[in-house]
Amino acid sequence: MRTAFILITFWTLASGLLAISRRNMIHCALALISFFAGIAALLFTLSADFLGAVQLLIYVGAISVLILFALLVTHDASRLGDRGAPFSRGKWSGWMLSALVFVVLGFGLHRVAVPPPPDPAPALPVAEIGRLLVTRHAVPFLAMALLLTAALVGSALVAIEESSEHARKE
Amino acid sequence: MNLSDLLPLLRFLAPEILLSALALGALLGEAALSRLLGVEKRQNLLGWLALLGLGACLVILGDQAARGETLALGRGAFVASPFNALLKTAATLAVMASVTMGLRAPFVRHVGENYALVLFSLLGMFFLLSAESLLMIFVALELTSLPLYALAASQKGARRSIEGGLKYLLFGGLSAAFLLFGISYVYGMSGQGSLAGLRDWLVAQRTAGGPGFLFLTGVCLMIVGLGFKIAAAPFHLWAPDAYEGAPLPAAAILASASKLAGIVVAARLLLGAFLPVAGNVLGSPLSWHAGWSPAVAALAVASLTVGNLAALAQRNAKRFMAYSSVAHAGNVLVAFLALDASGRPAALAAPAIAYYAVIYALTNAGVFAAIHALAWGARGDDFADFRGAARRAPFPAFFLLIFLLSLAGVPPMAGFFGKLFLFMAALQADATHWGLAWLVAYALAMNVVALGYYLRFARVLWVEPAEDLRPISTPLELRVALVALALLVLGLGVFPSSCLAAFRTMGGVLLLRG
Amino acid sequence: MLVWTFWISFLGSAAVALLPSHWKSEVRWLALLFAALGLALGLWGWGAYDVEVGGYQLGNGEGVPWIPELGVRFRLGADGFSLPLVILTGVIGVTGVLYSWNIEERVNQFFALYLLLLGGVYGVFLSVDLFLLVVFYEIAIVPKYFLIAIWGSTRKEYGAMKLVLYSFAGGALVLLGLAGIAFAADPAARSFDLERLAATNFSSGFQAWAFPAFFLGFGILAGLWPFHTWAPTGHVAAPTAASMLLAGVVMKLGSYGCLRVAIGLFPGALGATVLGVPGFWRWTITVLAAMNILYGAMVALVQRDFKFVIGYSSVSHMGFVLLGLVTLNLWGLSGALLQMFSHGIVAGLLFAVVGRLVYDRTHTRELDELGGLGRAAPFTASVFIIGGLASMGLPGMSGFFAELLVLIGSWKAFAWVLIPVGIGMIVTVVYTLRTIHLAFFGAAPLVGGDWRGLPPITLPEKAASCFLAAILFLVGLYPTVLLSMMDRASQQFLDRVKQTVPVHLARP
Repeated sequence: MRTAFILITFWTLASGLLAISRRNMIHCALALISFFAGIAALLFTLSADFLGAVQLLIYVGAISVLILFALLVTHDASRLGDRGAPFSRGKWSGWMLSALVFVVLGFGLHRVAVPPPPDPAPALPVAEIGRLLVTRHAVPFLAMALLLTAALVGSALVAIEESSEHARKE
Repeated sequence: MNLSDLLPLLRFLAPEILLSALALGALLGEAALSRLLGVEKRQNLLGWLALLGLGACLVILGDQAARGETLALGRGAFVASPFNALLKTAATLAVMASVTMGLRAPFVRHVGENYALVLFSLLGMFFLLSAESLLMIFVALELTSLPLYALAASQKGARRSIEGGLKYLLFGGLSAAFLLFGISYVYGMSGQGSLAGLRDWLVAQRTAGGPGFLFLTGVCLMIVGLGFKIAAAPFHLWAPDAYEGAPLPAAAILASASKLAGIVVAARLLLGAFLPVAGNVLGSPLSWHAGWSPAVAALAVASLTVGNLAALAQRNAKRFMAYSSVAHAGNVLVAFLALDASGRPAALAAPAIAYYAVIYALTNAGVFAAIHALAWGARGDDFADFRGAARRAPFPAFFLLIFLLSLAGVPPMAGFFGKLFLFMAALQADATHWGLAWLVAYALAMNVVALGYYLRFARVLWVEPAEDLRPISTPLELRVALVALALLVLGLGVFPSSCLAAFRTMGGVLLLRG
Repeated sequence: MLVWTFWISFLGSAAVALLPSHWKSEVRWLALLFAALGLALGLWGWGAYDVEVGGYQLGNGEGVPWIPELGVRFRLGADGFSLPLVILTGVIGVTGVLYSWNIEERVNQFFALYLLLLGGVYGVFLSVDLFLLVVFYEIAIVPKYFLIAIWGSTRKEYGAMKLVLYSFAGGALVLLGLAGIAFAADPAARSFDLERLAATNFSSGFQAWAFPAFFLGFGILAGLWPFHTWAPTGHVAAPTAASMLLAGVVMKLGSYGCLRVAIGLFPGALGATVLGVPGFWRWTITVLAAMNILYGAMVALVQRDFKFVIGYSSVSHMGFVLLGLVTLNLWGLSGALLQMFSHGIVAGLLFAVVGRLVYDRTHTRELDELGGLGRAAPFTASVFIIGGLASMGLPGMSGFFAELLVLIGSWKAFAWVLIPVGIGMIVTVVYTLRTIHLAFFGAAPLVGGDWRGLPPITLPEKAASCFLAAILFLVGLYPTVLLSMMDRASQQFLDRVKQTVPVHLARP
């Protein structure tokens, strides 16, 4: 299990790096899908089956398709390749900062005494999750529903074409 | 659970329910009316309906504040209290000012969607102001921010609007990532989702060898996320572009209500939940104690420096206001550090922060409303466009002066008392040793600089000659809004204890219960 | 009744602002009415004040709570320190309006800001609560900026900004001290009432840093050397009425704050040992005040701009006030108080002559370009000579007694300081005579021709000039008119200071 976890971690990391470093947007999107799948696999190895399934269904299934679809619809796919450098001028400071954060977090994780996992791992049945969502976490659940609506409206508002005369006005 | 049990719940949740209904109503209204009425008419009609609904919200919130009852749902996921109701009232007033600004200036064709986003964002702030659990804070922050990203980018003809909106989105996403990452550490180490639970856990950990390095790392990551939200330097880089690019009504929300919610939630987290790991920054750096205090002190000093000095060099009114808001983030962070050597916050700290957040939101809403009124006849929103505006439109120019002086901290405007209370809280914390005198002295010195640049803006309006002498007419509803906000800013200044006492009795404790 | 002075001024400010800007004459008369009401109330207060009883009178008693959380009360009143300054404010307020009769541009805004400034100044003098005093002090800052920046001359925006930032920086120091006071006493007895604070025995550690914060904060406004540089530039840039008010009254806000707050609340700090020097602050302030007198006079001697001469002479004269304050004896203190009043009138008169009677007519203030003005404008010349003689401290004029008392006081406290002060006084005589000679009697100007075509002096200007000159003579010939209440207040002040804190009153 441990070996599988480490292997999957490296796979996920590699996919993530690919996703931000490729010039071709389609390749980036494919790497991102691989990254999503890696996360799902990680969740399975951590025996969070429900979350893993959700990750598979939503991210690997729905969102990936959405991204690819959006890419193909909004842009000329043949010209996606030559979009300039994926990294900008500040890349070195960016790398340094990330390295710093990594060192600090690694140091913390190294020092922390992780309590041994309870045996057997507590299983949270799906029914219980559902019950919690409509009782204790009802307000956040409702707020999330509104959040999704707002996100939908917002992205529609930004994406929609407007006639130029109104756009210029303020 | 039967229906009669739900009724009291409804009373506490009524403002949120009303707002959701309003937002969805705006969407439906747009769908129904888009064929029947032109953009201007829809803008006006839906805007007035939104104002009406927000007015009803104010009534309900006033009722909640007057009743003095509290309710906590789902382990701090939603806490309704008079204190929160007052904060929500201030946020609502600021958003009402923004809606009033937009009544006659349609900047998008899809006005219903636009109003819906404004209302959704306010709803997010309501949830945020009521949130005492990590989960809810994150969800509510997103609900607040997402509509604002879209609003900031909604002026699609203008390149700078797109740029500002994109920057805001990227930085906002980054800040959400930091916040979430921090939350995951904090939750992972403690197993506590509610703020009160977190505090109790931290108190218990004191005897058990401390919460551990990773927990503190999580807290620091959350501070980074919050720093983005309240535009504290060095996490302020999005602010100037987002303010400049956003249409004025949207920028008004960014600078007022959204900031109010950010400040309050930061206070809840740091002075509420994470109080036991505060450390302190009393006296010389050698005597400081580790915790979040040194990090926040660094943010405060950086914000005071960057905000005030950069504001001096601005030539655009909106960018100027962005840097001013960075400076004010620095001011308010000073009171976050008002802790004595044993980690107890000063009695004045929480009321002072709440008072400051409220009057800052109202003042900034006023500034943007007045700029909006002046920009009516101007070509743009650079300082040069406002030259001699006092001659063309004395009414909004006068009110802009009042609001700017309030921001500068000139009595009898409330800004003076707000700043004074913040600094007094900082000195009160360690009154016997004047441990925070260094920070207060620095903040005061920076506020002298601040008066300089606020007067520079006022000079553009009142001293410089006008090139174009055609008068600018100000619509009646905008005049009413300006007068109302100015009365609030003056009234809360002349009678600061009306507000302060309310906050003190209601909000002496930032956290109610789990 | 006396407390109505600032309400009336604020009310007048609002009323004038609301009049349409083309009702110029109505605006002027209304402003004059409100300013005169303030003066009338001040004079009434002078009559009604019971000198024998002393202390705060004519106010609203114990006041009403304002910010109970901090123990702030809205309490007003006047005593022998503040009442003469209230009258001074009234006098300068009225004459300032008269000298501004010719302002044509944005008249309503000018007088609105002018009355706002006046109201803030009244408020400072009448506050018995320190918090309230600071609030009024800050209210008085912003109108100055606009008065100078809109209606001023010579580098007006620079002068205005510099003046306002210095004032605000002083205010920041005062605020720091104010916040300190809030938590120095125990929370149950938290109060900003000046009477109560004066009776509080603050710890010497607190006094050691609160005193310099307050003294420097207020001292900046009083033109304390080397923080005086805002004063000449600001006064020169300001329009006539504003420079009268600034040099005549607003600088007194600073010295009044130094006396009432810094010395009044923390007398122990004057004698305290700092950096190993006993009486460090008293020494320092004495030296700085002597620098004020000497440096101000020296710089005034070499000015080419008429108005700068007056500006630096103000700095020099404020040195006498500051010097008198730290003598901590009856002569010095009363002399400082009388000097505040006397210099208020003198500075008002001199700035009026330079700004209104000379510059507005000749359009130059260069001493080289003036000259020979005495023949063309005899009234102007005589008024300036009267003011100049009072400024030199000639017997029979108000400045005489004031400076004499300060000199006696400082001779008793620290005799050595008389050397630089004496030199400064001689230089004062020299620069005053030089200025009179160059401007009014010198050779005919090389440029600009002769001055025969100058517009005549108008009635408001004559009235105001005569009024101010009359006061100079009145106070010079019969100083008891003010000195009785000043003496009484100083005596009470010194008694209290000696009683609450064993002040180091010997010669330093």
